[in-house]
Amino acid sequence: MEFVFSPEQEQLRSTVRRLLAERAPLSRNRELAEHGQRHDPQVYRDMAEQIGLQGLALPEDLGGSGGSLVDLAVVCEEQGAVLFGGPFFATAVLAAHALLACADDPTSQALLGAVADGKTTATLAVVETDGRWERDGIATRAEPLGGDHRLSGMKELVLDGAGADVLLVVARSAAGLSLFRVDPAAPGVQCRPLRTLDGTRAMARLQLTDAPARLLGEDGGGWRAVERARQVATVLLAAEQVGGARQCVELTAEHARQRRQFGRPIGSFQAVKHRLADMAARLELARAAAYWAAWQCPGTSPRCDEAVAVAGSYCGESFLQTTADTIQLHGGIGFTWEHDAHLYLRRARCDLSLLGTPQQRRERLGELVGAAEGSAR
Amino acid sequence: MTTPDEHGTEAVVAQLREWLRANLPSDWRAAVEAGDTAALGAITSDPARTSAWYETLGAAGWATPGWPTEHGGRGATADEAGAVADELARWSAGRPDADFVGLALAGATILAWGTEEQRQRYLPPLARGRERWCQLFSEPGAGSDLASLATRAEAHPDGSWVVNGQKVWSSYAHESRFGLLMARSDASLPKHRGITYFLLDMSTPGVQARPLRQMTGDAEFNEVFLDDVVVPDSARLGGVNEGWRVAITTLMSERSGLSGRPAVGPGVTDALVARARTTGAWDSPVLRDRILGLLVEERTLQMATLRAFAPAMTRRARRDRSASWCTRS
Repeated sequence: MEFVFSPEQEQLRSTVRRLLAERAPLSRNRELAEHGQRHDPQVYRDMAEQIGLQGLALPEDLGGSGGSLVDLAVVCEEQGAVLFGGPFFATAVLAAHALLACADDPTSQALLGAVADGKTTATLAVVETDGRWERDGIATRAEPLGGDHRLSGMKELVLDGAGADVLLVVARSAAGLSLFRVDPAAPGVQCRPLRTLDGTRAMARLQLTDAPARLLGEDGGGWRAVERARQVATVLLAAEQVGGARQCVELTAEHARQRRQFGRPIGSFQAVKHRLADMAARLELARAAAYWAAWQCPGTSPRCDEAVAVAGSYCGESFLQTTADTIQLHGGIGFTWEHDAHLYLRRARCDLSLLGTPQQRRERLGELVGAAEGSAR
Repeated sequence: MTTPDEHGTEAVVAQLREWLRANLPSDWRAAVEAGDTAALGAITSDPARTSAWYETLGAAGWATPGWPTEHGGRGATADEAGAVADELARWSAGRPDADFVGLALAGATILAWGTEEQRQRYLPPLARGRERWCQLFSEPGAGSDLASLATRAEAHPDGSWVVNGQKVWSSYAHESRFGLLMARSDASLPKHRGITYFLLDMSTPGVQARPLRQMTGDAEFNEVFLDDVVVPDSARLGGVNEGWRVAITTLMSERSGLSGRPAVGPGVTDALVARARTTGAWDSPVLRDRILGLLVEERTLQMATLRAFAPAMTRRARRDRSASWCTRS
């Protein structure tokens, strides 16, 4: 049994960290966000061409390098630490894993290859007005037309929706919920960027009016793809949150060492020490939960679902608490626009609604614990 | 990372099961298999039965699987030892919690610091459940700041030591044959450097254990009074004034021992969930979310424990197995 990183994973971490430090540090990501650009396409391409990050956890026969979700979690942790805002999460996590669920479809295979190359960005549009990741919340209709379909409806919280080259949309056909590929430039597709609390992530509302669409995978089999994508994305979001929390702990510990009051560093005061220790302890717990889940995934076993529910619930809320503590421990400066602390708070707050809420994950955990009762696991 | 199911303990557990089939008394086995708690309770609360069983268990090395074979153990890794404990617990055939200080703390400390003579004297009866041990560390004035302890050990010209002082929170001291004793042997040295460690015979004149009643109504803890207790130098563990280093071995074993075998799975909160379902509390969304919040925290702690142990377990597995009991580094 080994619940430790391999030397290759440590190497991957330092490579990604170096690339981000040079090309996409927090200061740069912040600047991009403030100018509404959110990412540098060249950095995104270099991630694919120089390190192969987009294809890291994709199978080799589909253009990837066959890595594990733990490998991808290492990458996401580093991106989360600097609040990287590029299309990586929407493309290499959400869209790619939805496509993997229908990977016997040639269109999916071609798209996965383009994703791995870093040449194509994509996203997955699921939730609608109520923001819930539930089957009965999907009202977008798919009507057959010739060999293809036409979609009508509205999608909310579409990550990178306004910038993606390919939109993967879940809609209701006669056979049930299905996954469709939509070209954002096609007639009847309107993607409006949304101004959200977290400027470092691009979010959009997607309006579809008889938009031409192509079915991916099995007609009526779209929800399986959504669940797979959501499971993987929940774990990798948890990894991002670990990165963000890690950065908050480091920033705050450094501040406590440097900042002097009453003739001593404020870190020597017990009230400050205790809060810092709590932040560090939460970080360790979140790290364990996130990587444990990454280790179990993807999968359909109750053990895997349980790990995802635990990570999704713990990492999101603990990250938010840590960002709030970061602001408090920075004193006055922590409340300013100039300081970076609020960027993490914004990210943490928005993350809680991105893939469903922590309460929903606990409800899922409750179902799993009930189902497991009386049976040996 | 390799998969979490690969504990690599199957072989040891299979050996133990085979051994239990041959050695566990048939009525004991039958009571466990039938889930007959009354019959099992009658067996396990009969001192004649349990002491006979602990002899058999200890002689085969299954009471102390992590000890080296030459000292009556089985040279098992920490993971294997954990699996052995789990399997024994399944048959209600393991040693009681009251033996924790002996098996986990005294055993590791004597293995790490004892002379060959001391190992021969203390380890075999410990493995066979003949002698219980307690810990004589904390004092009324030395809790968290253990190194400030005031119990004195004065060297006599004949080589023996005379100990005076008071210890507290000593679990099972009133039933123990020996105590792990820390005492100040040189008050002129800085506090960590003037301490010597002894293996105190609790039947020595001048040793008095008084049980302390806890809020549970039980009395496991004791106050222990030491008045002019004469301790032979042969009971000294480690060098004179080197007791702090010896105590670190004890304390590290205590920490790892008390955090349990790292595993992720059903725990206390699962029992709470089951209870909440029967009482109807589960139907309240507010209570349900609070209980599930506890479940999330429990699982996360288990994962963190597993992660904290992982590097040590990996190192241990790679090291010579015969050295895996040693916590000294």
